[in-house]
Amino acid sequence: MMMTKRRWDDAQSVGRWGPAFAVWVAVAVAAVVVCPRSACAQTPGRLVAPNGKSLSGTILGTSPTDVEIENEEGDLKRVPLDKITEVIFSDEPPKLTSARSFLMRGRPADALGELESVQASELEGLPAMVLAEMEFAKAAAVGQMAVESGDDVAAADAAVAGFLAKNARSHHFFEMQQLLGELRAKAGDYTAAMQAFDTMSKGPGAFKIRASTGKGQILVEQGKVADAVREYDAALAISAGDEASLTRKREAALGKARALSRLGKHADAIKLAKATIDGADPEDRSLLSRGYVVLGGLYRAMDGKEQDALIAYLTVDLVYNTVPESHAEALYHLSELWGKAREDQRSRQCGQILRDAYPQSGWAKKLAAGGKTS
Amino acid sequence: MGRTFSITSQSGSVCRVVSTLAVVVVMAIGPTQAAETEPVSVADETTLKLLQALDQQQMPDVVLWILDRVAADKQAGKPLQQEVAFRRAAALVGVSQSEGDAEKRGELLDGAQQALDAFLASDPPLDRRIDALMQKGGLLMARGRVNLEKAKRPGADPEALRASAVPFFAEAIASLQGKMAGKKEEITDVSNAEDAVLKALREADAELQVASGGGKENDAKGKDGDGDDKPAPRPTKTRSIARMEEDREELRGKLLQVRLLVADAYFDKSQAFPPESPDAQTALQASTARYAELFKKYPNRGAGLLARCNEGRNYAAAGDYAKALATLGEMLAIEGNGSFYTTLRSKALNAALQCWLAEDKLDAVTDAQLRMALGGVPDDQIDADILGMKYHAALLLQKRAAAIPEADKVKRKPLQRDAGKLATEVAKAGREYATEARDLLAALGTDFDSAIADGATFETLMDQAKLALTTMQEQRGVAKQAETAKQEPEAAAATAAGDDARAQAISFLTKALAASEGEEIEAVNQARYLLTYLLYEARRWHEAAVLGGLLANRYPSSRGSDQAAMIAMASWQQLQKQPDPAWAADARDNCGAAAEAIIRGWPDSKAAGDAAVVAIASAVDAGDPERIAAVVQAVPAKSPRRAEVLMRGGMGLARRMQEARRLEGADRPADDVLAAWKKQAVATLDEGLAAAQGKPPSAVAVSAALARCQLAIDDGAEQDVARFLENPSFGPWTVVNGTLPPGVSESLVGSTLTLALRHYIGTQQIDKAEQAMNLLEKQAGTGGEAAAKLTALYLSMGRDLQEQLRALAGEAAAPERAAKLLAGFETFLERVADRDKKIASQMWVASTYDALASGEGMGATVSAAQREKYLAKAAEVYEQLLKSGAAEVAQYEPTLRLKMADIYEDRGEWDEARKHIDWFLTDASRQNMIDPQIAAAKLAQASGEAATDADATKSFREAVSGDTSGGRVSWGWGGIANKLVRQAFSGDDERARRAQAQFFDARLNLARCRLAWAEKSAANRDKLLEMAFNDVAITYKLYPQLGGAAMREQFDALLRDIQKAQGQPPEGLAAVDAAASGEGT
Repeated sequence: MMMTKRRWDDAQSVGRWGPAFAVWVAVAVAAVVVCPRSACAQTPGRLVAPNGKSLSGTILGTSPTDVEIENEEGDLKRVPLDKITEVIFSDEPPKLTSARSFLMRGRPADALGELESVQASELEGLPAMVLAEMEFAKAAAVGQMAVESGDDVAAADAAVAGFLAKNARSHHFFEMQQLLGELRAKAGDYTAAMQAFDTMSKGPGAFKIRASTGKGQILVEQGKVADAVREYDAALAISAGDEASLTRKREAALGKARALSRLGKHADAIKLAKATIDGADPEDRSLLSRGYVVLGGLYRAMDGKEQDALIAYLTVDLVYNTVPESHAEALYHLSELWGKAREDQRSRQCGQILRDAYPQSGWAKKLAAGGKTS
Repeated sequence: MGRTFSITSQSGSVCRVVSTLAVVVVMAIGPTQAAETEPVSVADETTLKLLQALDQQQMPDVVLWILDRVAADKQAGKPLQQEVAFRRAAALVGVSQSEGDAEKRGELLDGAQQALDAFLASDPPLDRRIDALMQKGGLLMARGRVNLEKAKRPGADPEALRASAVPFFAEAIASLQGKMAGKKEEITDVSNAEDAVLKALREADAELQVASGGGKENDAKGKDGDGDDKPAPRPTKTRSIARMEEDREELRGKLLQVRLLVADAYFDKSQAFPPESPDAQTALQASTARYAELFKKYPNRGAGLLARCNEGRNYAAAGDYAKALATLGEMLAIEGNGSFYTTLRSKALNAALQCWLAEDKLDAVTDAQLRMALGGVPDDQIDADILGMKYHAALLLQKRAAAIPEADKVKRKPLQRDAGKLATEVAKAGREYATEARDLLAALGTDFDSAIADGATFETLMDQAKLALTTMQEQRGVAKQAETAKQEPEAAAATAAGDDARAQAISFLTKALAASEGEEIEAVNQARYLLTYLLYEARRWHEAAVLGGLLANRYPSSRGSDQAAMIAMASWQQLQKQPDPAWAADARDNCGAAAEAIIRGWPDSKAAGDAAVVAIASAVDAGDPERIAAVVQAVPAKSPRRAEVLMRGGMGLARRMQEARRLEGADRPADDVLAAWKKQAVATLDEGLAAAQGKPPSAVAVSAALARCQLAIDDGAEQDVARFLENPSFGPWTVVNGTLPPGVSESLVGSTLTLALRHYIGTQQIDKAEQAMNLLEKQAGTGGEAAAKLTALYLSMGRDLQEQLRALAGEAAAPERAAKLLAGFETFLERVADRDKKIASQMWVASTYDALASGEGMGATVSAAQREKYLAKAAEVYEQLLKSGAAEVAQYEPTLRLKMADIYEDRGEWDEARKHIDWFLTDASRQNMIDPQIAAAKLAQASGEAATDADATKSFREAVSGDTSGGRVSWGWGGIANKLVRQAFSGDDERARRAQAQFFDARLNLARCRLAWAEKSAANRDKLLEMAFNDVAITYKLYPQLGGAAMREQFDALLRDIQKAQGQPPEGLAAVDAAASGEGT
């Protein structure tokens, strides 16, 4: 899933942001001359760390791996992306901030609503980096929606690919590669999807892991389950100990658990999923939500484990229900499983919540189609 | 005083109280508290959060699933494990609320009580002890109320059940009511909730006092909720003062809850004693006094108002309606929004309505109050008081309607409509007052039906249908109970009431389906399913079959479709019993199709197993090997009845093959087809029997093993015969010598013994053969009927032997196998002939020799010399039997003489043969028997064919035209045909078919005789040939089918022979056709 949180580890933070004006001038000049940074412009803004703290200053430029900022004392620093949760530009329209927030919470339709209500006049005279951020947000929203619903995938692919072509130095580059890969996989173009993940695997550790996970997912969809397990193992073997990478590894472990289940190794799959859940950060509701959805799926694949599956999906519905994609999936399965258990009222209730809360979701459509679509 | 007043406990039903408490308790012991003492894993923390959420969602069944898993999970941490006992109690109470069966509810509550006792015995902290004691009190009250509910059931012993409720209420009071209120002594006994709360309050006061600096460590005093000074323990924790005050307030709330529960328990207890009894009065007064005191202390708090409301209810229960209505009036006048006030007013109105009903003050209720009763209430807010209010309002409206004079009857309708609407709501909830509400609906009857039928929605009609269905089921239960108790009038009345309710339900469902346009298909299909079920219940088989079939075929994934399919199949089964054979056959086919649809649609269900058995029976009845194979193929490997289906299918295939093998001419399938069927039968039976191996023997398995033995005997596979015949589990020989499984018929035993006899004779196991023969005789019993039965069995065995020998013909190993078989029989028959002089045994010996010698098509396996020998032996034994003059023989004399004649004819001993035939023909009482006449004609024909010219004429004349000289009366073939013609073409039954076969045979032989005669009569040759031609031609013109393909072939061949003899082209029947159309020569 794109737009997941990145951690900003205080202990490994950028240290003291030096005040030397001369250095600032030197770097600024170098930036102008070499122009390696996105948009080749400067704009005030702040970087938000995973612990909620922020660093304000002038954003001098971005790259697919870091953001360069000069703090208020004039110190310059390149901050790696795994230490940043969000980059906020001071001049950006408030609705862009809001839209980005929706994107991070997996609500692309709401994000798009915000972006569409931004007036053209609000964008006049804004720095190029802010305009690029608008473009990013729109493409990401459209892309996420297409991945979620399966609708308008080609148009979304064009938007995301267009963004990437124009913004090869964006700090969103790798996460947009991931979105591109997901879109292409959704369209059934697995070769192109693999290419997108190959590009992504050139990024920092967390992206490398996510790229392997994405490939594993594609291989599972292609029925190459043993290959998928190898890909997940590769993801887990990547040497990266930062918090973001660890989270990605847990996602890879959940993917591996699903693949093992497909190979009929149910006990191993469940053991791995449970260990992953137990090793997760108790506050990482996104991962826990995913973990319990995966656990539910593993139980569904087994005979006589319907109650265990129900418990897992109920955990998502009643405890970890803030991640729309996982929640929608859990509701779909709950509706089915309660129906099979002849608990009609509960089945209907889950179906109703799914339809009301996530009307555009592929799971809602699948339910409406009687479980026959993907 | 002392009236049984049906108003529920304190804040709705006791169950609801308990449930509420459970939620309170669970919330009080959330994971945070547990986390303070021991680290909790992410999974455990998640589970604790889920348990809390499930409590809030009121999903106690799922809580139980989780607790079971936690209890079995060695990885679960201690904090989570500690939750199990306490939460289990709350969950069991929760589950019990939705359990309709009072017995099961009682079991669940037993389990809950055990869990609570276990928790209390573990010496939990005071705060959790309080919660557990409160829950225990509520639980015991719920258990007492279960017994009060049971007392209302038809056929129950109300006094005993009420009395059994008393200890529960007494124990509840003991768990809740304290002894220390108003006392200053230290509280040491915390075995009741009230004192436990008081102790906790004192500790809370002391803690607050110390925290706020106003107390001394050693003599800290506090104030509890009662306002009494108490010695306080030393505080042990340091928390914020605000938090301490919050906790103390919560404890005060609990103290009020406990005291309300105590008053409730006394009220419930009063209901358990006989009305007017001193015990009832004492308990009611104790309850009223406690309510009054609570209201006095807390007139402005919710608990005080609820207490006041119940105080009014108690006055009504005591019969003091004036005081009750005055008290309840205060409550009804209170204004306020929110669920608390709704509860309060509905509780008060419920009690007030009962007062008005008791005093027959039907106009006392105001329009506003009626509107309140009629108002909608969300499902999750419905409680016993709201249901009581609605039911009593309905009752009052019905009484009002009934009081309106006939002249103004139009004014009744709106009252009846509202009464019906209210009663429907109550009945639909299926909880308190549901039975009474359904009775009220039944009493309103067609008045209400017609009131709602006009323009009623699908949903309304479905609700009515479901209520009628519930009434029907209840009445069926009552009828069953009455039948058991041999109370016939009551049973008849309940059956009639159930039938009425069924008719009503069918009517509502029919109307609902008519109004179903635009409704969700699942809802419509539910209506269809219910209607299918009711139509079946009403024995309207055809309608049930059609509707069930529609549901199963068009909407197989709809809920209930599998059941509908089963009903359709069962309906078709019923329709097979109808007298019209064509309809019955149609029903049989439909039944099979329905069964096959079930197997395809729901292959893993139990129903599929049952359906497979029906389907295979249908396919076997239809005698269709392909269909049998298809059914066998469709039955899932896991189906519990697969073995049975395989065995039945295998038996069907074997039977079909054996029947087909006996056919002749074009009707007989090709040999390779028969071989394929046989192979399939063997494979199917082997698989079925392998699956049945090791299971208790069944009649089906024994029959299948016997069928398999028969196939093996055919193949000469005596080892296989022995393997199946003597299988230690289901072997037919094993069970007839041991214990017969249920369902094994006498005829199956007989067939087993005859087959065993054949097998043991054929394999020269003479001792076992004798054992089989003895068992056969034992099975037949004694007396004439028994002898006839035994004889029939032996004759059938002879036929089987013939069949076996005939089947051998053509096989490479035929001579060797036949020799072995015949040697075995000879040895055994000789032994029987010598040793066993019983008539039946001798009959068997003779008939077996006869069968071995006289069967057609056995030339390849029985040599001419052997045949001659067997005929002689048969004749010898028959003669001895006839000469014995035994009474048992007399009844077989005609049969014996015919057999003798046949044997002598076969041997060319014409005079000996004629002697036996004349026994019939010279006796007026036997002259008209068709079989001797046929035998006589046959004998004459045979002797004519064998004789010289002069003698031939005499014989042929008799064979053609009969003989009436010397007191003999024989008809000849011509006479036989004439005698048979009417019977042969007067119907289509078995008798007519047999007569028809004999008729054509006679006509054929008539022509044959004339042809043979012509060849031996130079003088009359042409004339005889012409007559022979005409015999065939006339028969053909009159009956062009000539009795079937096989017989037609024979007529055609004979005619060609005649034409050849006439010097005509041998065109056969074609010449007759040509002549008829003017083309012939």
